Amino acid sequence: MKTNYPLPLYAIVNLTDKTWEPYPIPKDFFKKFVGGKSLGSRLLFEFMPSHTDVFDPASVVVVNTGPLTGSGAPSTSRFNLCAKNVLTGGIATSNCGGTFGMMLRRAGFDGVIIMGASDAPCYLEILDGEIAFRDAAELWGKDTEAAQEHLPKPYGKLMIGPAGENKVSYAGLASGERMAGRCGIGAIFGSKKLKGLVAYGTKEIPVAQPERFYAYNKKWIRFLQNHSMTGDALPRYGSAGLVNKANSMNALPTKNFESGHYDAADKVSGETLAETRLTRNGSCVSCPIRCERRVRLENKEVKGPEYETLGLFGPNMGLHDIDLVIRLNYVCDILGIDTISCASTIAFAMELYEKGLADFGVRFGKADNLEEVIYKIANAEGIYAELGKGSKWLSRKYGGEDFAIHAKGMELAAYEPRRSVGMGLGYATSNRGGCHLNGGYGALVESIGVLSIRPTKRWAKPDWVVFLQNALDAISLVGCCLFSGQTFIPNILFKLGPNHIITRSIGFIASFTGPVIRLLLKFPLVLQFNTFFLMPHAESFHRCTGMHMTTGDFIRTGERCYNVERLFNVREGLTGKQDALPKRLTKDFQKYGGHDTTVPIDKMLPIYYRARGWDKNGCPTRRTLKKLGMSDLLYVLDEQEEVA
Amino acid sequence: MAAVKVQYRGRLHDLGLPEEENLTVNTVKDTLTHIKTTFGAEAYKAAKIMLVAVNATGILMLKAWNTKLADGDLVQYLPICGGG
Ligand code: SF4
Repeated sequence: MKTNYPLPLYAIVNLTDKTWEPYPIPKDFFKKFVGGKSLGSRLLFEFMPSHTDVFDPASVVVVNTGPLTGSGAPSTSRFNLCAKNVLTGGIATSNCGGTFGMMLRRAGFDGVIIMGASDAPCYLEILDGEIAFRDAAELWGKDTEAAQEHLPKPYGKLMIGPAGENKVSYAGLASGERMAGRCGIGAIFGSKKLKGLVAYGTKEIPVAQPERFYAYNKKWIRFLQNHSMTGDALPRYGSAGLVNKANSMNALPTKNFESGHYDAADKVSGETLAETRLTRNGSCVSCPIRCERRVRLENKEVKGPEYETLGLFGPNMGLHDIDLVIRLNYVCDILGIDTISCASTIAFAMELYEKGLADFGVRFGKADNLEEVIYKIANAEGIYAELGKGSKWLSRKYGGEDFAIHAKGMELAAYEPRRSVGMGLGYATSNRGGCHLNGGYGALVESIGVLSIRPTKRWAKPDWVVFLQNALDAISLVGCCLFSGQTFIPNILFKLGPNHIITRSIGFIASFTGPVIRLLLKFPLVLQFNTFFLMPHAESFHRCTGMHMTTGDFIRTGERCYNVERLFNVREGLTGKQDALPKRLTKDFQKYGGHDTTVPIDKMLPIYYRARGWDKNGCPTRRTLKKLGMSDLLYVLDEQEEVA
Repeated sequence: MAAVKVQYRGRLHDLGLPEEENLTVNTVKDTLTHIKTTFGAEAYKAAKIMLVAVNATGILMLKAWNTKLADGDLVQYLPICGGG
C-alpha cells in the first residue's frame, strides 16, 4: 500500500468509568476489512468476549464509517453500527444515511468502540478530536425528534427513543430522520444508559488523489443521473414504487405472508404516494439520486415511508390506508422502532388471534388501535412488552412457529420469497437474520425489477445469491448507499422494458449462468479492471485512498466481510440449522393467487455452502479463511471443535 | 370484446393521458394499439416499456401482450421502479 492515506483513527470509549482513548486501526485490519460493517465485525472479535449477553456491560457496539463516508463521492453519507444482534444472538449490522457519520469523520474519528455501561443516562459529545461524557437526564424519555432538537443544530446526531430506553428487541437509532433500524442496537444503547452520540468538527476528510477522485465522481454522478434506475425511477417514486410491481408478481406479502397479492395494493403504492401525497424529494447528504419522499403529516412535512413500511403496515396487515402508513412510519421513527420488525410482529400477533393462540387486541384489517399499540410496545407496557420481543420469541411462547415470519429471529422484509426463491435463500443465509439487503436482494433481479431471472426456479440462484451478497457488503463497507449499486442492471433493459423479448430472454438465459458466476466467485481477481457498469465504487475507493482496488478485489473484500460476519455467528453458537425459513414459506403454497411454489431451501442450501467454501453446517472452512487472509481467526474454529 | 378499464400511470400520466378510461377490447395488445392511435408515438413508446398488469397481475405471469381480457378487467400501465 504505497499511499499517504492515513490509517483510520477510532476511539475506545468506556461508559463505566467515563474514559476514552484513541485507537489507530492496525494496518492489516484496514487493508483487509477496510471499514463499515466489515471492520466493525472484525473489531467485535477483539473487544467483545464470546457469548457475552447483549445487555451485559461487556457487550460492545462499534459505530463507524467507511473511507468514502462524507468524502463527496455520490451517495456516501452512510455510516454503520455493529454489535451482537438482540433478535438473533448473531451479528448485528445496521446502516444509516444521516449526517452523523460525516460529522464523526470531520470531528477526527472514523469510528467509536463503545463498551461498559453508564450508571446514569448520558450521551457522548465528540467535538474536534475530543470526547466528552454528557449528562442525558434531560434527554432521557424524549423521542428521537425531541432529543435531537434539544441539541445544537449543526451537530451530527445519533439518538435512541423510548423503545431503545425500554430495551425493545427491535429498537433502532435515528440520525436526523434517517434510521439505523434493524437488529435492536437501540436496545443495547438503552441497556448502557447511552442516549446517543453527537459529533461536530471541521477537519478535512482525507483523499489521497483529490483531483483524480473529484473528476471521477463527477462522471459517476452523471452516470447515475443518466441511468433509468438511479436517474428516474428512484427519484420519482423512491423504493415505494415497488409496491405495484411486487404485487403484480405475487411477491407482495399479504396477511402475514399468506400470499403475495393484495387487490387494493395500489392504494399504498409509490405512484399513489407520488401523485397525491408527495411534497418534494429529499436526500441523504451528497446523494444525487434523491430517493427520499417528503410528505405532509398534519401540519408538518416528514419523511415518507419506504416500500417495506408500506407493504408491511399495509397489505401484510390486510390494510391499504396510505395516510395511516405515513403516520405509523413517523411514529416508529420518533419512538426509535424498526418498522419492518414491528409491523411484521404485529401481523404475526394478528394471525395468532385468528388461530385462537393469543390476543393482543390486533386484527387483520383493523387500523384504529395500531398507533396506540406501537406506543405501548415502545413503552414496554403490560402485555405489549411481549410484542416488543419479536415474532420468534412470541412463537416460542404462544405457538405458531410455522408462520412466524423471521430468519434466525429477525423478521423478513417485504418480499414474498415464494415468488423470488433466490431472495428466500438470501433471507435464510443472511448473517444478520431476515434481511433482504444482507440477503443479496435477489428479488431485484428475480421478480420486482425490470429483469426477471425466473423467480420460482432455483437454477443458478445459489451462485447469484453469493455474488450479490458479496457485492452489496462491499458497497456498504466503503460507506456507500446500496441503491448506488443498482446501476449494474444495464440501462438498455429499462429502455426495452420488461415485456421485450430481449429482456425476457436475458432473464431466461441468466437462470443458466450458475457455472459462470461460480467461476467468477472462485477467481474474482480475473476482474482486474474497473468500470461504471459494474462497481464504480471500486475505482472511487482507489482514488480516494490510493490503495489498489479493482472490481475483483472489491468483490473479494465483500466476501471477506460476509465471512467475518458469519464467523461471528459461529462464535456465538449459531449453526447452519439457523439458515432456515418458516414452514409457511418452504412447505405451504400461497393461500390465494394459485401459485404452487415454495422456497426449495433444502435443495439450494448445499450448493450455496459449496459456492461459499463453507462446510455443511454453514461454517467457513479453514481453507476459506486462509484464502481470505483470515488465518488469525482460525482459533474460532479450534474453539468450536473443542466444544463439539 | 370485453369492456375494461385502463389506468395510465408514471410517464403516461406525465404525457397528459387521462388517469383512466373505459375501452372495449380483446387483448392487452389492443390497449397498446389504442394508445398508439389515440395518443401518438411518444405515448406508445413509453407504454411499451412499462410494467403492464391485468387485475394487478403482471402480464409476464399471464400471456404477455396476448393476454385475453374479460368484462370488468383492470389494465394498468405502471412504471418500473427500484430501491430496497
Ligand atoms: S439513494 Fe436514497 S437512501 Fe441512498 S443515499 Fe441517496 S437519498 Fe439516501
